Amino acid sequence: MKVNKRDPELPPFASSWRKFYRLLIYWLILLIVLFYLFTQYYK
Amino acid sequence: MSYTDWAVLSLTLILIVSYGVYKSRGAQNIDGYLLGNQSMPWYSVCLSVMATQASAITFLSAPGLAYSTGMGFVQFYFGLPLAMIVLCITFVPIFHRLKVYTAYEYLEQRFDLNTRALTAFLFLIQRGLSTGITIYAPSIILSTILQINTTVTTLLIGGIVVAYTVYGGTKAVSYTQMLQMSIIFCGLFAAGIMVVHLLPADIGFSKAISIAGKMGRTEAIDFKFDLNNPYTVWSGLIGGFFLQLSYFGTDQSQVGRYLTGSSVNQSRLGLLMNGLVKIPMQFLILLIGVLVFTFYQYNKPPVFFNSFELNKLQQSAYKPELDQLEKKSDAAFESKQRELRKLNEALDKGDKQQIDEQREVLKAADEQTKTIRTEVTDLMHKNDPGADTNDNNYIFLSFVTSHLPQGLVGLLIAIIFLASMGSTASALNSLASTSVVDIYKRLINKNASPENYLSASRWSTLIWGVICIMMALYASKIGNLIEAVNILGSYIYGTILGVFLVAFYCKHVGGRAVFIAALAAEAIVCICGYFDQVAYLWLNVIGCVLVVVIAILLQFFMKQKETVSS
Repeated sequence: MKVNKRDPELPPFASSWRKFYRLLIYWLILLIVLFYLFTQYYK
Repeated sequence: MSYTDWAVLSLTLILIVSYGVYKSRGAQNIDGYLLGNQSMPWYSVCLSVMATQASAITFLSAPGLAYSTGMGFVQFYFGLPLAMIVLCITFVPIFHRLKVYTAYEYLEQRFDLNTRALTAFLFLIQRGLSTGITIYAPSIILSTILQINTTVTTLLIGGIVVAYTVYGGTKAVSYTQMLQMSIIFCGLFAAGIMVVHLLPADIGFSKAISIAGKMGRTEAIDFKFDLNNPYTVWSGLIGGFFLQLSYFGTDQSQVGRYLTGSSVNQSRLGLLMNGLVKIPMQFLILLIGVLVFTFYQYNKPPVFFNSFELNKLQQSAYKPELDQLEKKSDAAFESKQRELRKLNEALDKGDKQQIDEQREVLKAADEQTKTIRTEVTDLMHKNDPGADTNDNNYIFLSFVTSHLPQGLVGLLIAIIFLASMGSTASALNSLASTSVVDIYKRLINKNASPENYLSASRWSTLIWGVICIMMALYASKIGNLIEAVNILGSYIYGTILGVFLVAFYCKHVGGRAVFIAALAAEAIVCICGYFDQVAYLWLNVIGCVLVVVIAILLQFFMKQKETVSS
């Protein structure tokens, strides 16, 4: 039986380091947008 | 502080220091002492780099900044995730592949000994000075609580850190930092819940932020492009990127942390997770400051948060003037209460027009409070020209000791200690690594035994510990500590980063060109900083760009000269 083992050296939530870097950039954009909405909402 | 608080504080410190010392016993060479035999998993690397960056200053100054000026400081960290990505692609694989102890070792392989020595020297100056400030920050706490001189508390705190860092080296640093960060997260979470709990019954979490927002404390984002404002999206993304890249890529206190990772990918993952977590963490710390601000709208704050300086003024010839100002402050507080009630009603009704009117009224009341505080600090300055008239670092501390329940006070004071100990320990370890690997082992005693280098590392840690404690004793006259550390870094980091970027990306540039470029760039950065031409974050960009441009130009002219003469 074939066992689908994940490479322990791969990053979590992504299948390659390149994708993980991209994820981090999206995360930064999301945070900036959320902080902007926070600023506008409570102003 | 109650006996319970002292017990919690003492137990937390003893537990963490004992754990670090126990886990780090048995280092037999500098591989173990300075690199921890490169055996750490990613989560240890992540917590270690976070603990190194998040000094006590972070937990003292950041809530104080949010209280005084709002949440704009969070933008300072926007460049961090981008810097982590560049680090993981370029710096980390190279450092791991070359098996270096320090970042500067690589520069000799790439350029020459001069460049290695120059960057190591710049690092030793910058880190030596800033570590002094890192030790000084928590000593404020003890001096305020015990009403004793900061000299005594500085010596006490510095002594504990020096002792366990000298004994256990980098492993003691990493293991203590893991526990420290766990306790710090728990303590801050508890503090946040307690602030909301202590607000009046009709003021919930969202309304508390709303009230602070109406008084200008929730502005976390500023898209204006202003070279003189350090806290905008652009200065955070561009200036912050350069500062964080140079800090994590070229400052041995951070390089030494992720070099302990068991592989390139473990180091990478630790750094990237730091990029994920750091900004939300900083936002939450600032949010605690905002909640404390709202708390003090309903509970009368002291007219000045540094009780030591305030007591000094009360016992001086200026007491009558101070009493007048305190009466004025009481009246302003009472008047503000009435306006807050009106704002509260308007928020409940959703009456937009009244909310706008109350916003203006409360902003004016806030300005009045600030004016009274300025008058108090003017009096302090008249009474003692050397008085510390910036109380930002005391705001959160004053709230903790005056309003939180027994036990939690001890835990939060322990957090300040732990944060300071974590970053100081990393700094001492990195100062020792650079002194031993880049200077002693390279220039003074090339062929000594492993035992000799281990012993030199221990002595070096001890000597740097003593120097940093001495620096800490002079740090009391500097205003906002967090800014002081960042300003100092900005003078030097840009130049060092420029040298590393030339090393990585400009393969045709040689050692002589980059060495002269670094000296010229550093001189120009110092001139820009001295004449206050731009906000300090931009000094990183200027230093870095100047090194790269001057080095490329010099290399071009040197090559032309060589061609002509040949």
